Amino acid sequence: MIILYSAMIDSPENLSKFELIYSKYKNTMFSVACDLTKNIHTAEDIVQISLIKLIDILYKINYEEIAKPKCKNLLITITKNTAIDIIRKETKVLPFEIVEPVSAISGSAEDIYFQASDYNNLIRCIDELEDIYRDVLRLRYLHHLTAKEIANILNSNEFSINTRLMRARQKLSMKVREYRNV
Amino acid sequence: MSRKPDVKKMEYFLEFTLEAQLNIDEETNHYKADEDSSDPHVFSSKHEQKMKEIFKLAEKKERMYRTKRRLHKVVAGAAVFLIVSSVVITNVEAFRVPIFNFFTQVKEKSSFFGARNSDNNLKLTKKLADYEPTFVPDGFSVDYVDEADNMYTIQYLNENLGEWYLMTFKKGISSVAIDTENGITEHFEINGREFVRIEKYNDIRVLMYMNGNQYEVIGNIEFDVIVKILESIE
Repeated sequence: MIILYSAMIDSPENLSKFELIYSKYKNTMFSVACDLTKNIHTAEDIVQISLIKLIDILYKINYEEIAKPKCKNLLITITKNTAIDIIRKETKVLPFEIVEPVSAISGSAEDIYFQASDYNNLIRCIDELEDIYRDVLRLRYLHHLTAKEIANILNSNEFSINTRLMRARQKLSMKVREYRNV
Repeated sequence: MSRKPDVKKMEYFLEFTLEAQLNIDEETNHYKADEDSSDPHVFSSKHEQKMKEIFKLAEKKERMYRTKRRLHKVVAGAAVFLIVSSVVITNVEAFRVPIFNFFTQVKEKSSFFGARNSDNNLKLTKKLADYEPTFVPDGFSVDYVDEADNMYTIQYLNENLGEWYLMTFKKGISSVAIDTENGITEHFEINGREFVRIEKYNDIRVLMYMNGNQYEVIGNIEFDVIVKILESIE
């Protein structure tokens, strides 16, 4: 009975998840890498490195999500950040991030409750956020990645990611409040 | 209302909004998926070669996750099967009665369910230790031991209940004249072992003959317990 059960749960569709993603988005990834590096060979290398990074978080992607913008965006984010990292290394520019002190932003991390009526404003606010904050929010809340997994994609460390995440939530909260007051 | 469900609700709302925002996201919409691309890039042979290695790596990792997940599902399935089986056995009479009967029959055939008590199994020398019973009823302890060349006598005592029994072993005696006067005698057999039960006054005496040896228990304990003691001799 257990053998029969085991055979039933072994779905063949899971076998080619990675290949399916590659066949669907290899050119998308290449375009992102090429736009940033302006070099075909480097862009191909970036696609490879990004795909290796993807392997570690493959278990978080459902088969039915592959065709959705969510998956496309994840691959764009991974490729973009891999490309940025390679450009930094090639140009020997040290990673630099403008760090705003947390106290400089009004509102605390606890104070981030949105209402259903905020929906349209929230979409607008996310759209207006800086890339680094939007990316970290998406990776955490949309793709449900851990701080360690996000750090690997964004070429950072867990501490910085957690700080960035907190700051992103505060910024979003602030923006929503501004829209409410308008 | 607790804070935790609110946080979960907020996270779900944020996830929903982030996904909706992707429909208007400039960057996501700017890059097309491969099937929508009019001029796909032709990757170099070096890249394709490297990709074969990456596919192998992904396959390995995917297989690892699949195995892990399958294992979890099998364990969960087995647990459900066991629970359902237990519920069916305990609730459906057609299953419950034969299983109950099976265990009852096993108990009837072999009444020995006791465990070897190491404290009481070291009272004899190595020469006769093999003939010592491994089952000692709860609450009993050895009162005295008398050992000779081919025989031994051990007295067990339960001081709390005032119960006692005497275990005697005689090597090389397959039958002997016994005093059955004024007593009730019964011969019977369990698992190929020959027993004689003699009840005289308030005491029960049971003899067992096995491999040309005689084992005897006499005492003021229950007959079933005496049989258990004798059956525990290996």
